[in-house]
Amino acid sequence: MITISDSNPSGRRSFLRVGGLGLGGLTLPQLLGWKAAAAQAGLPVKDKAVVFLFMHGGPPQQETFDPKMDAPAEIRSATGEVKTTIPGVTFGGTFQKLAKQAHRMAVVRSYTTGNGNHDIKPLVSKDTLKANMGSLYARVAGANVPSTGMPRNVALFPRAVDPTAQERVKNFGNFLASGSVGAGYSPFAPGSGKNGLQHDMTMWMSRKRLEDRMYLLKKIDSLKRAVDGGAADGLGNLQRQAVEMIMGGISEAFDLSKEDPRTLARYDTAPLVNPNSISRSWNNHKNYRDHGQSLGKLMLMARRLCERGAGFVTVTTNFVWDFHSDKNNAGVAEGMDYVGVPFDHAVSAFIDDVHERGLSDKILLVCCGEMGRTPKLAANGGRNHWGRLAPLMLAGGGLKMGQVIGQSTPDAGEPAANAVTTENLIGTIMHTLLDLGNVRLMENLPRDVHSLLTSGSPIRELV
Amino acid sequence: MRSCHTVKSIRILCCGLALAALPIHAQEGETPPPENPPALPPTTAPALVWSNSEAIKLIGPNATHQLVLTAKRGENHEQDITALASYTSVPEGIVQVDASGFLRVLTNGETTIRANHEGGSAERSVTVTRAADLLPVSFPNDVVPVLSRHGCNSGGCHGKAEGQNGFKLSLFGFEPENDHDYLVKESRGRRIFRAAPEHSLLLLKGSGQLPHQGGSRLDQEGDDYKLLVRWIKQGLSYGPKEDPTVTGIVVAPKECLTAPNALQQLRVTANFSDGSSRDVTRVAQYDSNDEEMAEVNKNGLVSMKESPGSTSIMIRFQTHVDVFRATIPLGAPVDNFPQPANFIDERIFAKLKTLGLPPSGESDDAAFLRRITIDLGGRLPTLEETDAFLAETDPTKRARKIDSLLASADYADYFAGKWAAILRNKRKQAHHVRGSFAFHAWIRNSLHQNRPYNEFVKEFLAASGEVGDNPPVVWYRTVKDSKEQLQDIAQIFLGIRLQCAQCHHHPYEKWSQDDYYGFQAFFSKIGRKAGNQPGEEIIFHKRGVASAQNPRTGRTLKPKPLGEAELQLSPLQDPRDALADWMVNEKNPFFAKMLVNRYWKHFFSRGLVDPEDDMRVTNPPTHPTLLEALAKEFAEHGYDMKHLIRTICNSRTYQLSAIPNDHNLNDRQNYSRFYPRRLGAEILLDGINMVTDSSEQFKGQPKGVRAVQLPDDQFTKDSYFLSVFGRPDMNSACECERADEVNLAQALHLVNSANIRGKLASDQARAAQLVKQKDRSDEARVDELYRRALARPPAPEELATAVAYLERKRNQPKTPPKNEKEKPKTPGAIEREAYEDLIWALLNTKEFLFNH
Repeated sequence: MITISDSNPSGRRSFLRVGGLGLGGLTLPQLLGWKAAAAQAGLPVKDKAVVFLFMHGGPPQQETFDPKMDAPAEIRSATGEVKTTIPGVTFGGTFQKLAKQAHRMAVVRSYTTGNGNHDIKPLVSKDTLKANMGSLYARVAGANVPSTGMPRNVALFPRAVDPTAQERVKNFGNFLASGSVGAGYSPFAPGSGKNGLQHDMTMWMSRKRLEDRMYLLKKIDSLKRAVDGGAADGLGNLQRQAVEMIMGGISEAFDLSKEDPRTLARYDTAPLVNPNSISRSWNNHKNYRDHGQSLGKLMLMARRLCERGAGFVTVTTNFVWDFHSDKNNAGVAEGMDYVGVPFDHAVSAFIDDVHERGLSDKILLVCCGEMGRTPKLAANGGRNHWGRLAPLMLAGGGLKMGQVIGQSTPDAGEPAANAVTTENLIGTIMHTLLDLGNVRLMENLPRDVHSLLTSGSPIRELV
Repeated sequence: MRSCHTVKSIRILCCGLALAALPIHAQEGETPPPENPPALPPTTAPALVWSNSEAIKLIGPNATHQLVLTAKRGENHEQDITALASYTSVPEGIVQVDASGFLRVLTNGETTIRANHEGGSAERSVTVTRAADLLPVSFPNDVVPVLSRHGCNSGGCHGKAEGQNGFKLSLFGFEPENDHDYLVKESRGRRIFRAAPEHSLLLLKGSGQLPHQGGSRLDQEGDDYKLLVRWIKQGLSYGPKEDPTVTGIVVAPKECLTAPNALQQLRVTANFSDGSSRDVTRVAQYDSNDEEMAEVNKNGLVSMKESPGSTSIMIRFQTHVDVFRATIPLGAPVDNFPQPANFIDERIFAKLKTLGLPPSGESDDAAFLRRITIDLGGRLPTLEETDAFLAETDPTKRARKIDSLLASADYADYFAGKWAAILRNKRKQAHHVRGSFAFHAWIRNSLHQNRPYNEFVKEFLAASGEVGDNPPVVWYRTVKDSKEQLQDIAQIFLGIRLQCAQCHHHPYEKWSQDDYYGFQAFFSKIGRKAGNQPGEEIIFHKRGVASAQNPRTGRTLKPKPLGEAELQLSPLQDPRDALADWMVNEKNPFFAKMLVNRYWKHFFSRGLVDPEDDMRVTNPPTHPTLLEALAKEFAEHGYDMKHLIRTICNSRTYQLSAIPNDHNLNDRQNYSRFYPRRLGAEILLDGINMVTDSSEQFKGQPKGVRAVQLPDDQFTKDSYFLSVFGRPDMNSACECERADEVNLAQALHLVNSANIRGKLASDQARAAQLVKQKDRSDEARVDELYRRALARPPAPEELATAVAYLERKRNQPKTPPKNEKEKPKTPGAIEREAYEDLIWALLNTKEFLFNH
């Protein structure tokens, strides 16, 4: 959850609408109020948010952040390399735009996820108590921002911005899992249908009827004061807020048309990959289409949500990083055109925009998949599953940027120095989001959550 | 890192246990003072009285003494004036006395301290000896307390497990030997500079001369800084091992009846193993259990706030704790109290009189019926029950209602859910269902048959065998780790939270790591083998000597009941049997108290000790003698749970109205009225179903099963309603896992969900039924709805409001259809909508959503 300063020129005007329209009319005092509310409730929550861009399928090391151009042809990046703003550091040739942002990023070249299976680790695994990592955060911070109802833990799939996209991929694990953390803390997935909270926020009766009902309730409630003091005093307020939310709609936060069209254009990846140019010979061609059409918008939405109180936003685009060059998936070089190009654009736009808005230290972006890919390129131009090394990139969040952490062996096959594990990654994320010293004092946290959060060891070079 | 400096941080522990700081108190059951604290103008000079009259002997250059002075005006007006009086010493130069009444040694000799206040005066002689001696500084007794007092070794700073910025101290100084190493030897000794003590990193950082994240903690002119310098000069000695150790601390006064905004100086004395004692007022640490009620500064000066009630200050020195309790009366007239019905009322009312806090009146029949049906039966009263109860005129009808509810299956259903949650009846995998259902049924049957609590616990704790034969073994399936087992058992049945003691001495308790691991030894011989069904286990006793190791000392401990010596058990004996025997023994100081406190909280929303399962010296009960009396009554009646409940529910206190009078709206701990609370998730869902005449179909349960009857955690996951309203996931041994707050997601659900809409608008539901009853007047139908939802008929103005709404809806101009396909609404449909609106409104009233 972050608190933002007034970056909106209409701030003064909206200042006058305090308590106006819930999410439909976010006002600065409300935004600022969240932090205060969390502090008041004694929650050990820092003023920060995390966007976790999950590169489902398993991105290759060389073609992303570890090109190895000195290695033999079958090892080195199939897409060449590009110099970055950090002297001596290059990225895979596809990442032309990201290369210019390298000083705002930290690339880990010694990250290992432990195995080469398709699943959704490190986002959901037994390391996270089989819950989406955001559920752990929500368990501490609360499922919703009390003043607005904004969910703290959100997951964005292509459907959130593109109703014609395919359903989210469910074969490899449940992105909305809450494991042993508790069902109430699972991510809120806009556009995904029957989630209790989203459903409840959607107005189904006429405005007039809801107003009639509220009028009647207020009247009846005022006639007999059977219950006073404590929680009861807050109930009336909550009901009013609920009605405001329903009438105003939570849509504003999730509605990209409310964003400056220039900003939208800056993020948008749809123009980069013409759906018709994607070869139909790959069974996953629709995934590539969804990825290109949605990724930029998803990143923009993620930023909007962070500004409005979300603390952990999962973004993923339906399993596109699996570059086998088999009947389902393209090979590396072609795949990077479909997948890497939009990634390069969307992620660099995000880093740049967040920086311009003065939120670099407030929002941490994490990009990785469930594994890496084989160091040697197969004869068909594909790379296969590889569990011993995987790409990992972080940006912002007040961590130390502009560095490469760790080294890989010359074939980009294993960590050569400073191996980083998922436990370190979780530790880094929770260290960013939470005041762990005070998490230790929290009552009522389930023991497993408690010990997971407080025992993590962040990536040393970053903190 | 501001956090480690706030007063709160003193509470910082190394583990996440609850350290709730809640108000506290004594005084009940004692004779109240004849007058309430008068704000008398001082007409005559007060008599000044020292807290004790012994001559003060100060030995050594560093001896100190905190004076405590009281002004007496007439018989009943006492006021602590330690901080207000002026002090002189004659002759001067022997001791220094400051404005707060604190004495420091200057030189050898005898002197007299004279205190003056508003014309009164008092004198006291002081003898100073050995003022020139250079007494050796003791590391554990002198240095460590300084580190504690300045928060250096608190859990938020260097005391946490990984230390802070590479420098670690033991939490709260519980391991002084280690601390000595950390300071003197670690990091190649860079923290101390013997040649120039003031240039030691310890002092430069601690006093903020070098950048220190924790800020400037030590005043360079202060005693504590000087003590550290002296310790370094003297050669960093730990002190002889035979140095006397602290055996306990004593605060004076222990308690007081004071006034709003009054001050009270405390004096803390440490007693040593050699029989000596020392004033440690300025080295001890103070922590207010409720800063809304009273604050305390680091010199032990307590400032009361406005609100009446009782509160306490926790005092800590090394591993020792003591508590000061203050009672701040309100002083309202208290001549109109109801007649006590039993010993509960006697004690509650006595305290209310002391406080000058008049209770609300008695609840009316409707409120009582709704409250008792919720609290005992876990449901709302039916229309028939309401009508019958309100019509009855027999004066014993409340007692009979209590009896009949206790005898009903509803009681067993409701309380079984309560116990299943803290006994963590989880279905982690689908095939666990046989066990989780069996365990729930076992609990439910035990409660229904009213098996004595001691038997219930014994059978549960020592359960062996297979799920089908002995369902409580299911607990061992969920709670596998012996540390979790010991922690759960201690918390649930003894009200002791031992978690802290796993890694270090409990900061607010006497429990040490040996207590922890000695208790763990009881669970060291639990064997498991495959059971009759896939995924099930047989629990058995593995023969052998039960033991557990304290990982810090390496010591192996035999099973050790808390606060007692280790037991010598034969290898054939299941240590859990020995544990159960010790627990249920009537001499056990925790067992009965924990249960009565838990049940007290069930009925009053707040434990006499609160949190209910955190009973420690430093978290004293609001009504100690009542807690004792309830526990005694419970034990003497053979641990009869229904008897206990009957005693509580028949008290006038329980039957007080929730409606506040002019004085008690803010009362949260004296039971001067019934504290309303939101209905639990299950009761609310069942209640909504009852009012709307709908039902719920839970997965794998026969039709008609209500939410309150559900056996395990799976149903929380399955039902958005139950999870959003806080039905526990049964992950914790603490009842606090059940959320009773009111939040926005709940409000949204009740206001706008498809779930509630379906219940209101179904063709079989209440609104549809009522609309069909055309022969009945609106008044009759509204009256019925009120009695169903709120267990009372509507007041005339409520009736009028509701009827007017129905009329208005009927007569409102028709909205034209939006398109040709849409048919205009029929009058019947409009009327039905109007009734749905009315039922919706009733379900959203505070009166419906709360137990009051």
